[in-house]
Amino acid sequence: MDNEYVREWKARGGRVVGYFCSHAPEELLWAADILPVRMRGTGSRETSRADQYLGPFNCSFVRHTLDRILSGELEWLDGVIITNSCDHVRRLFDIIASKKALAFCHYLDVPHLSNSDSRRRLVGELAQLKGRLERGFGRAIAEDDIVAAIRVYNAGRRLLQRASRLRSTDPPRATGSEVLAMAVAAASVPRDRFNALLERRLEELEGGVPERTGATAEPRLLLIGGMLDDPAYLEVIESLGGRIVGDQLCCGSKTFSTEADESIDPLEAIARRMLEHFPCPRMVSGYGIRLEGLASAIRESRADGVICQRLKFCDLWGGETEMLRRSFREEIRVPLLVLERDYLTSGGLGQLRTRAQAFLESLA
Amino acid sequence: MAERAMRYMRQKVEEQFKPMAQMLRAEMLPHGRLLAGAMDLVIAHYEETFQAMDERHRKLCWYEFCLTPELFLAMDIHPFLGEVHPAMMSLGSPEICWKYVDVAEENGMPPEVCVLDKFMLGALIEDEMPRADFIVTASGPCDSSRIGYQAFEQLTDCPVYRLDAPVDDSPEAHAYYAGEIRKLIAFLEEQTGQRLDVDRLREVCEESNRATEAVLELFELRRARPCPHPGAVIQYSYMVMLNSLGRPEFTGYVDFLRRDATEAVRAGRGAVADERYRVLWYYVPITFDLELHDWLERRFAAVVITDLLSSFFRQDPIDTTSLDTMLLSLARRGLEATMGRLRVRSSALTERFLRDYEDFGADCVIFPGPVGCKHVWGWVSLLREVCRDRGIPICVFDLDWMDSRIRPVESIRGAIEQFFETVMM
Repeated sequence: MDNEYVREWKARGGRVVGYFCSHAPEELLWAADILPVRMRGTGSRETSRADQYLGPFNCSFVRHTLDRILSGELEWLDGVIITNSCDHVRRLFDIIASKKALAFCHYLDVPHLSNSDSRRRLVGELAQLKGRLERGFGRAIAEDDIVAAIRVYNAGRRLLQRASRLRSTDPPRATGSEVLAMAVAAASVPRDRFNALLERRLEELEGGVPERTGATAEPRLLLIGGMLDDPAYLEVIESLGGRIVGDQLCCGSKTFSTEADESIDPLEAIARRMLEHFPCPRMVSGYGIRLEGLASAIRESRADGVICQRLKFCDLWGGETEMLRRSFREEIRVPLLVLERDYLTSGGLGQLRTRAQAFLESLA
Repeated sequence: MAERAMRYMRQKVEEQFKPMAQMLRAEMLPHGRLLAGAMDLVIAHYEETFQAMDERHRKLCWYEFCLTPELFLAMDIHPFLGEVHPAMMSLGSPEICWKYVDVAEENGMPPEVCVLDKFMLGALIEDEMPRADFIVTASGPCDSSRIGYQAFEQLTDCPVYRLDAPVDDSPEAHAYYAGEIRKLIAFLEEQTGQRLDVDRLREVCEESNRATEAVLELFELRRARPCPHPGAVIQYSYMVMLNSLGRPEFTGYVDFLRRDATEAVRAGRGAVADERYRVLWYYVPITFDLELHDWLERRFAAVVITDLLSSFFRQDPIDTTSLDTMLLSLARRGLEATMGRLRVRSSALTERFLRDYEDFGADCVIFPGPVGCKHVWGWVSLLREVCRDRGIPICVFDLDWMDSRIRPVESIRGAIEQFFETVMM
């Protein structure tokens, strides 16, 4: 999170606000001249401060992130916006707010269903957030600012879509871990600068000679699941001979696979995208929709197998994997590997290697 | 003819609940006089459920927290709150919970998911949930229920209707949820082929209000020292209330409790002869230890004066002026009631906690936190700090309120015993 670009932004007096979920209105922050950065627990070594406030049944992502906040490591953050993504994150917000750990805290109630009423409600919530940002940071947000922000973010999303496609060409021109690293970077670098950097990198990747010619024969994998922001996790799978050709991760393609509509009211466009981008299990509009999307992603990426990873104590992905197991057995008929993990990849490397290796052998 | 669903429960009603009701009426069990009415309501509820399934003369709706039964009753739909069923099934038979939890986990549901959803999934797989005509679920109160109901849908072929429950508590949020209930009416009309009769809804709401009035008065009466009723009355009346608000039989039962409590307060008679401690029980009841309240009362002269789940029913009556006002009241009631309330911010929960502690003149708090409830484990440390600052003694421990394998009766009682012996005495 705290990289050279953020430091530079801060050095020129810029504001930085953290957010937690792909159902967050990054464009609205950018329109207020605030740098939105996605909250991560990377770099955390221990959780003793967070342990004082979280029970043993709360997830490790929230635990590490809270610990970083309470330790003061993230004091350069000017605030945080939390959506009701899950129960762990909701209570994380309560703790931050109660401890006054950050100056600006906003709770965004994002509906769990997508329809015209919920969109209208979300537009109202976004308007409230806009008002709070204006008051909190002393800068009016004009409609044109939001329109411009949507354009910048959409441009970045299109570039990431281009990068994403490079994973599945034969031979591949990008690895799965590299694409995840790009998506994660997009969420912690000023988006206009990120777009320029990615444009350059894409020219290199698309124009150069593919390095991994042998990868064409490797099993093609689709990686799905909840919070995973560590490219090292994917590197392990790729080092064992698995080729990650696509993903449905909340820090991966869910952040860039859809764009906000540039032809409608900007708040409506942001709300629409937040509710309609590829749904996560928090959206109760139905498992069937998600399964259909997954089946089509498997077909399009010609995946030989699917790896679903989830954080221990994540009920949403816990229930989702229960349903996926049944669907894969009865309908999808593609091998599925379910991996439970701790937020820090270093904690479960041995298990990951063993299980991924066995899975890849079964696909060969 | 297809095998009848809920075979175990049918047997349990005949072989356990009915004899138990007789024993309660004959006062062969503690507080029988006060609890018999609750057991009668449970039996009647299940008999109606079986009848609706077998005869198909009336639609059966399996619904979830964040909703109350009035609207269903007004449309002559049999309401079946899924979340109460696990508690009823495992009442006095903890091994039943083990069986269905194991089935769910064998089918891939992770152990850390809330026991209610695991239990219902296992029971659904084993045909021990009602074969509903439709399911109505809200997007609250928690992750576990949000994903649980999606998993149930995968296993049933009945229509599922979803309402979006806001986490916010503002008037706008209530109005939004009232709109969600209005849309539900259209779904129910389509399923039943009947139009909602607003006057009938008003009648049911008025009946519900009569019960609410008695319930509110009961809360007031429980503030008396000594507390007129034992803790078991709260637990049982809460469990039957969820399926029975709006039914005259329930109103009759709570009215009986009200009259009895009034008399007890007038006579200075308490549930415990020499009441020593007034316990605020936050949060879940323990379904596999039916004698816990008696034990607390006998061992420490400690009476549970109210608990978190039932205290959420300290609400205004339904405004029956018009359909709009009724829907708004039902929205508020659904969002506030029982576990639906947990969707709100910790600060709001703490505020409610302090109000209850003060209103009921509590001396201490017992906080059994279920291992599957991520809400409370992100709240309880903040609550502990508040308690420390205000000198409120609180005993927090983890457990599973239905699965006794996680923490057995002896261990639970041991934790409570230690608390009373080291902190309270």
